[in-house]
Amino acid sequence: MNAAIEIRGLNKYFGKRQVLNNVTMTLNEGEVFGFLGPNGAGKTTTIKMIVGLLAIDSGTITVCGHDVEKDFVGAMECMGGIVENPETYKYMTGLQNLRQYARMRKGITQERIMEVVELVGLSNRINEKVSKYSLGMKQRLGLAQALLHHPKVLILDEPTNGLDPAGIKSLRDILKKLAHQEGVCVLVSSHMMSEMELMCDRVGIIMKGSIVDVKTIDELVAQSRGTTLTFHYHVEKAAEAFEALKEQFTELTGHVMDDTHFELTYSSELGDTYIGRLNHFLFSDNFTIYTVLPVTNRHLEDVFLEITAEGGEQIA
Amino acid sequence: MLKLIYNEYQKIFCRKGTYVMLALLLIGTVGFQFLINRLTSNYYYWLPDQAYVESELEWMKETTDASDSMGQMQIAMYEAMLELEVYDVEYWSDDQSWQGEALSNAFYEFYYIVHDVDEIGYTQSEKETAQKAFDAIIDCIKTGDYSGYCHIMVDNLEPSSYSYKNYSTIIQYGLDKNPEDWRLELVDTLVDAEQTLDFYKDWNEEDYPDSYYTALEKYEIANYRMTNNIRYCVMNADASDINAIIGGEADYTYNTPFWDNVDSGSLMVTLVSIMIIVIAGGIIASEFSQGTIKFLLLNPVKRGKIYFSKYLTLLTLTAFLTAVTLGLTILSNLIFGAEGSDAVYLTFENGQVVSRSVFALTLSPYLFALVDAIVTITLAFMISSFMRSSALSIGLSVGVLLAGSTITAILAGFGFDWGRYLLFANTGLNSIMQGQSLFPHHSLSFAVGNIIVHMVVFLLIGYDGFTRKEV
Ligand SMILES: Nc1ncnc2c1ncn2[C@@H]1O[C@H](COP(=O)(O)OP(=O)(O)O)[C@@H](O)[C@H]1O
Ligand SMILES: [Mg+2]
Repeated sequence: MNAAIEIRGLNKYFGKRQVLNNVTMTLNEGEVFGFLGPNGAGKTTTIKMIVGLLAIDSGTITVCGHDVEKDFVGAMECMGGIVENPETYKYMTGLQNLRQYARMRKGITQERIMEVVELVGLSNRINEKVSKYSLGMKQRLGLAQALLHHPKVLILDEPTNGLDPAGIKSLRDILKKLAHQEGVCVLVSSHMMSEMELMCDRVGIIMKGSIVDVKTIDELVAQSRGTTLTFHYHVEKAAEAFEALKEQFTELTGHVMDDTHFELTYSSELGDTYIGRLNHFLFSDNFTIYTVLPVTNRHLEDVFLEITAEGGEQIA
Repeated sequence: MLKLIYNEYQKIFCRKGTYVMLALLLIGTVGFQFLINRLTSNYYYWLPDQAYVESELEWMKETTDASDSMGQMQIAMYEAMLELEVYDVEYWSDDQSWQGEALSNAFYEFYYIVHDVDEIGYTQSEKETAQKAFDAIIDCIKTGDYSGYCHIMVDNLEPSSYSYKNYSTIIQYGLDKNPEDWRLELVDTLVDAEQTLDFYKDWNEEDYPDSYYTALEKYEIANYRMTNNIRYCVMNADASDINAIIGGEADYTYNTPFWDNVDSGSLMVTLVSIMIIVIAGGIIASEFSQGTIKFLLLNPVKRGKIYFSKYLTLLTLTAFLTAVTLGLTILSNLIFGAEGSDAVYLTFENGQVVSRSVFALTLSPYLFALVDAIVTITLAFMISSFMRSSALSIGLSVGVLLAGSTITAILAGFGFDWGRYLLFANTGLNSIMQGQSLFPHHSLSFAVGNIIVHMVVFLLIGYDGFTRKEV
């Protein structure tokens, strides 16, 4: 795996206030990287420094091997993105806007423009003035603009803002396809873990200007499970079934809720197949099982809140 | 770079506001020409008519007694006017008909002798000759024979008199064939100049005063116009030409309404200035206020390149609209039928009359106006980039454009000589070139240098503002 974006020891001050503190991250080709943090954590600031909109106080950023300060044009040639809101020229049509950006980049044909328009699903409305677009449509236009020149690195700052569920789904598909099939490095920032979970391969969590954790989604899922697993049973004769189980499997805890429902909990160290043994036992003891539901008492969101606990209440 | 400029043009021409401003420019320019065409061509001329002459005659008869021979002559003249139906006899103007002039001369030159009005004691033969001339002139008026009249004048006047020269010149150029010939206007100038030249005839060449050369130039140009039938022309203004001084055209005398109007039309370049200031005010600031700057800068293009593309867009648009203003001005004069579109610019150089195109001449006020426009536009551009506020930019620049000359005048009035270093003391290049600056010894090169320094500073400040990495 090759590094697409390398951020080393990045610091940023606004006046005397330090907004970024020694941010260091490496993003690889072919991955969707989620940049996660509460409002005011410094996501947009970091992204603006990657694309050269803000000066770097100290530290370095390289994109595809180009130092963004020393070789701005080279770095920009392999980057595309949206920073904050997708503001394009309102008095022009979507297509006129795209042509504006096409003229500033190399080798973009009319076919390529139409291809991208098709990809983001704007074909029917591309000849309308942007002033008539909804926020979601502007996001799509912004994405089209970012994709025009086949960038190796795609940087999207809160791109799901204003998108409808279908839009989010298709964005997800586009990003995954770009990363996994075309080897693009996609950086997506968000303040919502639930979105990231479905979209990203890895996430970096930023808090008050510092990177607090970089993990793959799988690692996070494991973390979210914690140390115990709980299942909710709907059965015939709940009390009898619960007693029979406890007798046989002493390590279980739990409680009966009513005639037909009980819950039980066991250590996750017992493994994923342990529940199969329980069910098999009940089955052979002639208990009728209607349903068994896992009780996930902790979402990834909770993990995120836990990691960012100190900053959750107050805007950093 | 061309693609970037194309982008800027697209942004400008996708906005409705731009078309509103273009329409205003069109209306302003054409409307202004409409007004000055109407104002100059619709003077109301009062002409004496029959009723006027009748009432004058009645009044003369009542108040003049028989011994007043001058009064009697006037009464005879009024009666002749009514009989011949020529009323503009005592109406001294360029518009006087030749018949009016002839009748007036018949009385003041010849009737005067026949009746010896001032009792000078003319001889009988003198009186008889005068009577013959008088009758012949009346005949010419009746038959409409202008040529005959001119010849009678030449035959009967003293060769040294001004009138003699006048009529002999008319005959010499064959103008007696047609009393409507415009060239009759030139005769006065020609005779005047000729008399001055005659006066210095016996002097040594080294002793010729300026007035000799002025007269020579006038004579040669008038003669050139006579022989080449050039009715409309522009000439270098004579320092003593009151009309040129009052008209504010210290440099040229416009003998052509058409090009005079075109020259005045350069005033409308101010509209172009204001229009481009509005565009310049927004060209950077609105990218920031609308957030589009983030997309603009998210491209593999150096910021300096974007900055200068925007500036070049403004410059080319200004130049183009100035040319449009000139074109519209010329077109409206063609439509409104101003006279003299075929005029030439005549100068007298090294003993020869040189004829040049007037168009090149009228270009210069437009070029000066263009330079002034560019200076204010650069100011607006700088503020737009540095302050990132279009309101501030438009306000300050229009303020400077409108109040600059007043501030200069106040500073100059209070004797603050440092005022000459201010930018707006140096715009208005046209008047500085003509030496009309309020500051003493204010040279054109000083003004140009000052402007260049200001522009460079403006552009650098603006550049710094635009390339500042704080978006
Ligand atoms: N131009 C600025 N001047 C001063 N402070 C700023 C500026 N831009 C952002 N900040 C501050 O920097 C911090 C990080 O902001 P930002 O990167 O936008 O957060 P987010 O993670 O929500 O995108 C915030 O506390 C914000 O108030
Ligand atoms: Mg943000």
